[in-house]
Amino acid sequence: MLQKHKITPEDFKGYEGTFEYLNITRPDIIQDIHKQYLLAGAMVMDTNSFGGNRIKLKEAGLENKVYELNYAAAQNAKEAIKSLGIKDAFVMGSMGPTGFLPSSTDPTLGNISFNELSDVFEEQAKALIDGGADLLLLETQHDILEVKAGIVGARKAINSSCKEVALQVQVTVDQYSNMLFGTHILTALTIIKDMGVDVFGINCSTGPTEMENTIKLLSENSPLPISIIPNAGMPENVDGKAHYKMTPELFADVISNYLTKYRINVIGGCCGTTPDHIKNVKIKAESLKLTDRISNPKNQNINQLPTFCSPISIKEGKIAPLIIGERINSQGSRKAKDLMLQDKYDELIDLAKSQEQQNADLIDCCFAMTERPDEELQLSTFSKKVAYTTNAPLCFDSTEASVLESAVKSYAGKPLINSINLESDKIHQILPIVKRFGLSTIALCINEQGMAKTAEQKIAIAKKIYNIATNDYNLKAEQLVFDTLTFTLATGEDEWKNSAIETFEAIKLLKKELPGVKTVLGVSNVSFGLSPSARKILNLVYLHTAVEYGLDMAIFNAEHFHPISELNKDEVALAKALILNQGASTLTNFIEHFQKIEKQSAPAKDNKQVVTEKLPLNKAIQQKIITRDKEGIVDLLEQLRQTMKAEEIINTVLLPAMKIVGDKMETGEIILPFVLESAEIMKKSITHLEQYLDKNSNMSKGTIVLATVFGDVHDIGKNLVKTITENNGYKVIDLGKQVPADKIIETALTEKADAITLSALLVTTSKQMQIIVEKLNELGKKIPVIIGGAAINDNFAKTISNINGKQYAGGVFYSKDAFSGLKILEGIINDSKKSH
Amino acid sequence: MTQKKVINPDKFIPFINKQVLFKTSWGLKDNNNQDTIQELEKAFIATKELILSSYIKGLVYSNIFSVTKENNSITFPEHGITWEFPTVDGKNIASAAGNKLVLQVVTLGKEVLKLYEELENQGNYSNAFYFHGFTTWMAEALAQYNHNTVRNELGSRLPPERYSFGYSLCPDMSMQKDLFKLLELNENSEVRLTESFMMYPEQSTSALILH
Repeated sequence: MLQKHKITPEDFKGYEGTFEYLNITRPDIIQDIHKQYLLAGAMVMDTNSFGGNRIKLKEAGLENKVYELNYAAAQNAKEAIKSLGIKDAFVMGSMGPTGFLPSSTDPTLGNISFNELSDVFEEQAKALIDGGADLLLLETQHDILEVKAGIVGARKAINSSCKEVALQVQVTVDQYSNMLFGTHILTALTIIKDMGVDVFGINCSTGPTEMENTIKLLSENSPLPISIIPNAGMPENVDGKAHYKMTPELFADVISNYLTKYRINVIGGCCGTTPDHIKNVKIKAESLKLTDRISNPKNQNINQLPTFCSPISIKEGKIAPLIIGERINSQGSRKAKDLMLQDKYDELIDLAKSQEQQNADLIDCCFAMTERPDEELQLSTFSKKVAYTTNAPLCFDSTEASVLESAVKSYAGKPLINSINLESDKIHQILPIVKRFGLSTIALCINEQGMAKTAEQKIAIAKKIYNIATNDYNLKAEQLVFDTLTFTLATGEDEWKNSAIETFEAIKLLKKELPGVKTVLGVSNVSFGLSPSARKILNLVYLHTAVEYGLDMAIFNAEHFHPISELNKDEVALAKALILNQGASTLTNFIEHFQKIEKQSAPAKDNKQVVTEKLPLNKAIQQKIITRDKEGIVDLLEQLRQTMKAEEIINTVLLPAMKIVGDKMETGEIILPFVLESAEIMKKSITHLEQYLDKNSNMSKGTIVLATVFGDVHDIGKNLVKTITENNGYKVIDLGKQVPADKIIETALTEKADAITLSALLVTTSKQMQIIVEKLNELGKKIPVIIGGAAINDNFAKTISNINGKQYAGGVFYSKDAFSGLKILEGIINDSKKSH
Repeated sequence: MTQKKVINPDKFIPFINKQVLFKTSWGLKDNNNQDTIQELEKAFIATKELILSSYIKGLVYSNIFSVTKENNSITFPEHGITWEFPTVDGKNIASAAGNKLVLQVVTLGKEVLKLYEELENQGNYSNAFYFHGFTTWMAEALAQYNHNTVRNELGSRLPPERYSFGYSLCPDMSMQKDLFKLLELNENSEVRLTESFMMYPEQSTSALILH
């Protein structure tokens, strides 16, 4: 319209093309245009301030005139209405886009913060309200994140003005109902619907015909009044200028057809619509005699949690629960934490995508960790980046209000907040954010006394939170998602046996007593302390049981989600019995079932039944020792004794058998406890033969003094050395554990020991070994010392054998186990024989 | 006040990690065959029955403490005790801790020593060996069992964190002296400390629980 008036370059006073400037240079023209539309029947005057924000005006060098120009724009509309004496017309302060696209990662277009944007809109809105605007209009919006900033800014201006000013928001969509970056109209609706918007609709871009699909969707789904402001048809390029060719009659026909079919509350014209268009629409509309247009939409369950682009992220017909993928969590996943520590956002986005592919409906994100101070920056950076690639909405998991607020401002979608509780005052920091951005939040049933255990306590806390949220912060019930808390069932303590039932009962009661609220559970804690295979089943059965009680969402590893029908029926029954506390020993039964599974994979077979009867006697005895078969050993020994002396039996039959056992251990054919069983038979055999031995004969291959050193109580290693050494033909004097150095040395001297063997577990107690070697050295003794234990190695042996640069004469030998100790001992005895 | 609990072994034996017991204490190697595993399964059942028919009980001493933190140290203000922790791979117990800390000592008590010595003295070497490994992991199972309960009592939602003395994040064994003081354990308790701050009987574990 402005272009039709003969405006001269002088009218712009050097600011040519900045039409907002005409508000102060040629108010007569602006008011005249308003009057033409008023006379055509328009009831709401859109002010001449579309590009009147600071960013746009700065392009013309008019950034210092923001207030003056917008104030004048509102005044001009008001004057026009006043001069015609119309009573029921309103001034609507127009605010167009800034030209930035904040949700874009483009270094230029995306280079503006949420706070800067909302300040820009607040400034413009304030001037328009002061100038007399009855309502504000954010229009022709392309980027949903700018819409959010615009709403926050406009709301701030409205709230501080103390006037009742309505807020209308219009986005621009193509004929497929998508905004510039693909944000669908229903997504946009869901994102803004609880942010304090009074009317929501579309304008510009297309004519009314191309808008029908979008109008239909809004009509069926929007709980808000709907505004439709089309162009006069699709623009056509004539000599480089946009022309709109739809006639006023046709325009009015199409619109009036929509008015009969759809719930539309505000109609009007955008580019190319003349007073004639408005006049025709007005006449047609009035002839329809439409009555109450504010009615509820057909679909009441408009999705609460959309993302940036996806129209409905929750799959059609999907049965509860929604799965909140839990893997992007610095406190729950080592992998995720490492990626966060290294700022590997691309890999984190891959982690989000893979969860989405595994059917996670939302993605939980927790970046809190003690290693880094920048949780706020990290979560915000991630949120902005991930919005482009992931359709599943995010769930911001933090205890810090500032972290949550920054993340919400960076994220183009609508996140779920995780979480609030009554433990501290933080609820009063977080709920204002939930309200301002129209979000939903998880609320934990926790108060100053801690986590609520009984259904009754849980309900009491939930109601208190509900009252605070709905009364103090004006939230709707559907914006609250209560977590009735999961405790581990792996305690076996009576106190916790009913904990799952209490949690489920609370879900049922909450849904009954607080209609509209949703419920959520963090599932995996229920099986904390059990084996991985048991955990998988218990988690799933717990989740499915909770759903039967009405659970809506679950924080869960999406990869592990299966329908209950795919699980083993017996395992489900065992898990259910544990969860619902049905009967005694439910925990033990459950755990033991999963141990049995492991056992079944090992087929039963008894390898002890080796035929020994047909072997010659000496071989049969050896076979008994090697196969650990006690039965009949004494009989065999007695038979052999008819032809062989006891001493010979020990030396040529029994000891070689133990040697074979030791070799089998070394090659990994058998394991240590089996060697010990052989040693038991060996001991039994020798004890039996002792009565026949010549009293004067010395059967022993040598003598050792054995001890666990002072300060050390670990004697399993020492006892193994004793058993193995003794049953290989040596005399072992065992002094036990915690033995002082002096006692060990004294015994070794009086018993004329061939070696001292010492054991110690820790670095601290191994110092005793050094003390003993030093004392032996001081006394001028040459008894070899064999040492072993977890903290002992070859180097340590070398170190302590070196005393002031000289080697200890007896030598210090490291032995890694009882068998290598035996070899060392054999070497020592052979050497001493040679030297004699 | 230190909480003292007596727990029947049938309650926490199910928490023994059999795979770990077989591999780390009973000598099972990756190349051992199914027969060997089968024999160890039998030994497991036999040892369990032996213990269930004995006087062995699980004993738990634990308490929740309010603490203050500064840099890498944790202070128990009421007791005038401060613990310093090293930072390993960017992790430090003090910085990971909240303002509440649970200390826990679990033991199978003196009874376990008696039975072990009896088996050794009878020359029942293999059963003594099985018994030793089994009871060592029973102490660990008991620690896990009580940790489960503590988590519910604390209302922990964060992943479990339980640290024992003598390992990299908490290497100073002498802290056990303070630990015993904080839990009011003394010479006459079922578990005591040696001169080198080891617990005796060795079928005991101590822990610091963050959540």
